[in-house]
Amino acid sequence: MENEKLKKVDFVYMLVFILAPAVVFVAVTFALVKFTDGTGAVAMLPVLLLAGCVAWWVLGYKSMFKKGADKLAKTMDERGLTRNMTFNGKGSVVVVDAVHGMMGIVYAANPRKQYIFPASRVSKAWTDDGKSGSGVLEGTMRVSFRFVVDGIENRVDTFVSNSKWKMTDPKILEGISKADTMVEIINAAKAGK
Amino acid sequence: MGLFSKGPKGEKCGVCKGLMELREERLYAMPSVMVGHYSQHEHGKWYRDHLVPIESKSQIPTGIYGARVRLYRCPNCGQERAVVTPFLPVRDAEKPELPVTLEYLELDAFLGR
Repeated sequence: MENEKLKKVDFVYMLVFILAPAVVFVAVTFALVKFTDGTGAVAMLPVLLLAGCVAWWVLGYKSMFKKGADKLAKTMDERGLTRNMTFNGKGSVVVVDAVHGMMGIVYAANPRKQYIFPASRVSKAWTDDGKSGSGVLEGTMRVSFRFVVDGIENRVDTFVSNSKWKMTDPKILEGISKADTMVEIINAAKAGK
Repeated sequence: MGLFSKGPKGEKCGVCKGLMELREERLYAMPSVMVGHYSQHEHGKWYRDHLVPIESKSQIPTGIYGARVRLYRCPNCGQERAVVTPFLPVRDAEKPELPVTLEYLELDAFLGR
C-alpha cells in the first residue's frame, strides 16, 4: 500500500455522511405526518431529529477524523515506525518518521483511509507564508506548509484568520516556525536521515 | 514592550530601588521546548535542567526555543538578579515570551558560580 495514490476526498463517504441523517430525518418526519396525528410529544420528534442531524454534521465530522488519525498513529506504531513529528491540521493530520524516512497522512474528508508511504515520494516541500501587499498593508491571512506527493499537492495550515495580520506578529511568527519545522523534518525524512 | 515597562537595562533593585547594572548576558537553547508547546516556568530549577549554553542564535534548531539570561547587580546594595527571556527564533525575527525574574541563588550552580 506504500505506492497507493493519495485521495484527499472520499466522495462516497462524504455523500453518505451528509445525506444519511437527512434521509432519516425526512423519512421519520414523513412517517409521523402520515401515520400519527402529529400532536403531543410526537410533534417534538422532528425537532429533536433535526438537532441530532446538526450535531452529527458538526461533531461526527470531527469524531470520524480523530478516529482516522488515531488509527494512523496505531498503524504506524504497529509497523515499528517512529512518530517523530505529528501535525494536527484542520483538514489533515501529517506524521513524519525521520528515522525510517516514512510519512503518514489522513484527510478529514477521507478519514477511513490512512496513507503510509516513503518520504522519497515527496518531490517538493515548502513554507507558504501567504505574504501579500507592501508597506503598511503588508501581511498575511494564512500560513501553511505545502508538499507534493506524486504530483498531488497537500496544504496544511499552521495559521488561518479572516483578517490580515502583520508579518511580525507573534501569531504569524509561530505559524511560520511550525511550517518551517515541518518542512525541515519532511526534507530530513526524504533524505533518509 | 509598553511605554512604562522595564527595559533590559532598566531593572530596579527590589531592596534599595536603585537602578541595577547589566553585568552579563548569556544565550541558551531550550531543546525540550518546541514551537506550540511553550509554557512559562517560575522556578530556577526548571531553567537549570532545561537550558543548554550556546554561542550564537544560529545554533538553535528550527522550531526550538532559546533564552537570553541577563545578570544584574545593584551598585548600591549589591543585590543580584537574573532575568530569563525565552524567545522563539523565526528566520531573522524573534517571537519573545514574557521575561521571568529569578534570584541569583536559584541559578548559582547553573551559572557556574
